[in-house]
Amino acid sequence: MTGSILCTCTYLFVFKYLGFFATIINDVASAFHLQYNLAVLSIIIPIGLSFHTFQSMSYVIEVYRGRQSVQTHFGKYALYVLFYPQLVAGPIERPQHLMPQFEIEHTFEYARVMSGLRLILWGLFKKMVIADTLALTVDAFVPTMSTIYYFNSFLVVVGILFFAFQIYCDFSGYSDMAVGIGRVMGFSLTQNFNRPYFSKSISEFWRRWHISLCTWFRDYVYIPLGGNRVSKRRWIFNIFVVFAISGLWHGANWTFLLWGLLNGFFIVMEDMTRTYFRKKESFLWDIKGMLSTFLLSCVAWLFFRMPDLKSISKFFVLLLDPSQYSDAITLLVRDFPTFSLILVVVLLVVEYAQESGIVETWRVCKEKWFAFSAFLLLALSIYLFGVFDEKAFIYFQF
Amino acid sequence: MAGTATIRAMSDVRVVSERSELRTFLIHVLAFALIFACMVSLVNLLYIQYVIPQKIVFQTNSVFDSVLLRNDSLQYVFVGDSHPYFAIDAQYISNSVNLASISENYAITYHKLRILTERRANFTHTIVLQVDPHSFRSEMLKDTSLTPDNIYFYSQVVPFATLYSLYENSNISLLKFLTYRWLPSVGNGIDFLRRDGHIPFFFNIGGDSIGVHQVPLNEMKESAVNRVSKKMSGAEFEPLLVDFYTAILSLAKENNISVILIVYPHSKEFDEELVRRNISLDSYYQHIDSMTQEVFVQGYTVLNYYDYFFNDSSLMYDADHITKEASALFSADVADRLTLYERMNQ
Repeated sequence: MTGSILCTCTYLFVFKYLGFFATIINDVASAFHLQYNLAVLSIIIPIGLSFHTFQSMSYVIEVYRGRQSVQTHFGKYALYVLFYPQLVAGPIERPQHLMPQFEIEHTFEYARVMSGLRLILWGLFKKMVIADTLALTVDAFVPTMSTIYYFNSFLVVVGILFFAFQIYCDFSGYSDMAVGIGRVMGFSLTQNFNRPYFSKSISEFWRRWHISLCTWFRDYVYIPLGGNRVSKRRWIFNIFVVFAISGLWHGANWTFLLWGLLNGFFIVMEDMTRTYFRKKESFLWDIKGMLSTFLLSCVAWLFFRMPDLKSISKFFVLLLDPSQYSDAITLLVRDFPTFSLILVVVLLVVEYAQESGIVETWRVCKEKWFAFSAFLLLALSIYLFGVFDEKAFIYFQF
Repeated sequence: MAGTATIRAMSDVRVVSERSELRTFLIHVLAFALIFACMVSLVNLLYIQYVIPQKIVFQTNSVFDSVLLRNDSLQYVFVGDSHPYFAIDAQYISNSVNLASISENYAITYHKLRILTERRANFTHTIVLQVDPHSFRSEMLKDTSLTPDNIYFYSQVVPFATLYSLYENSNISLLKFLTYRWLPSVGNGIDFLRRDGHIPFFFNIGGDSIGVHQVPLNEMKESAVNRVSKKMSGAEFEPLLVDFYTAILSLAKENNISVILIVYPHSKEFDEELVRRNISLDSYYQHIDSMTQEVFVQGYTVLNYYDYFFNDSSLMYDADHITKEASALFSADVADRLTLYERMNQ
């Protein structure tokens, strides 16, 4: 098992992290005035590398642990690793869940196919209408590598609030489409998101966000390290290790590492302050929990979205400059991104209806004409308000 | 035996039920597709009828129509891309119109002028034709010129064959090209809220707040780098554009229309970026001169405003466009020079 995992990790390391570590070594050497210059390779990364390497590692570990029988058919193994609906950006499937489905005969079922198509349409709406429209707002407010020289910190804050929804709709939109395509073909794929912005704590957020990756880290890194059945100090160490790896999994960049560590810090702080903030059963308390969780996740998203450490430090410096606020307010009053805000509200309303079970309990939602009209409206919204600029999914880069 | 028969019967029932479900599914999908197609057609029709005339490129189209409706001859017609579109305020120049449109290239300009000359041979005395450092660059045929709005707009002015050749030289996909040609409303639903070219309270649908505002002075250098990279990295003289440029000059000559070439103001930073990249404007304009002399053997007039705002970058909107305030100053100066030109010709 160790040999197989090492092989897979080496493959991942060469393609994804070699350049990053070469840069670090060169920077350290230059800091010590050493004449040492490692070549920084620019290699084209195979599509969905981080996802299918994790999926293949999952197979090896499960077989080693005896929870999955050895697959002797190479084609079926290859199909498991590179199953096309979820190849590019997950969900990361476990062999026990996906492989048995290759053995059964799939027949046409009206209800299943329709529910798959509905999911695809909703995923498309989330990606093309919400995420890509929000991307225009976010890109205007938050600097990218090419616009790194000038930005307004207050606008960056506004931009990050929108980015939280952009990345959610971008990634969960893809996951919905992957699950939907699988369902149309008769395959059941793992649910990857469970309305994470309705979480009342950071730990709950991480049980609802990118579920397949989080459970992967839980089962293959966190629990083998001892999980929470260890001393407090060791538990904190485990949390930071898991979140640091999770950060680096997203990309070979200090910003991702900091994003991961910050999330780990929030989890640790949440655990330490649990006795001071006892959970109360009230609607207002829930709202407070959701808002604070959302804001904390946005603080972490700032590190995720900013192009480099220099721009992050500049952001904090500019935050203290009062002129930034007046400039930003003038701009926001004139050009407030109302449409983006409306899309966020639409998303929250739909998700609230799902979260609170209204969709299941309201009789009208079960009427065929209602579903038909709702999907016509959704399709027309994509036609009218979709961004057709062939914007790639954010998670494709990982 | 009885067991086998039962299994076979169950299997038959399953196949029948599957077929019936498939039939229902196909009927529902067909109904959905039909209703959706009807809705899209209706929305598209409304879009073409009511929204398009309000969009800026189509405002030029209405100017185009107004030229056709006039009985008298115009003194000056300005043509070109965003540079004249933003720089020329026709109110300052008597008896003139600005027919420029954003991202317009010589192919489009030629067909605009051809349609005008075919319908009214004497529609103008003089064409003021843009010859900027990027005018012949291959980027003028790339997808920046084939934005969704432009594709539909161009289709109203140029033959489909020309439009298709523009598509072939661009980076956009055939599907996108055909979609934007026939369904201009796709992805533009927010335009239904437009009033007088603006979307009230609905900023930031397709643009960006920083990009659409004037570039700060300390960023002008960066803007110059971006603009030069974006517009002047390809071939210096794109053959198709050279052909259309010559065709414009020949068309003007055949119809006894004078041509004045004009170079629009650029920032000092833009010029510095050209120098940094070893892009020589001298040889570029020499080549244009020889092309122009082949048609206008007896000479022609050039208004060179290239360095007009070199000393005042605050009047530059970005590295190669001027602000609205600068447009007033600039148009007044162009008017003076044209008056001088008229006097010299009398």
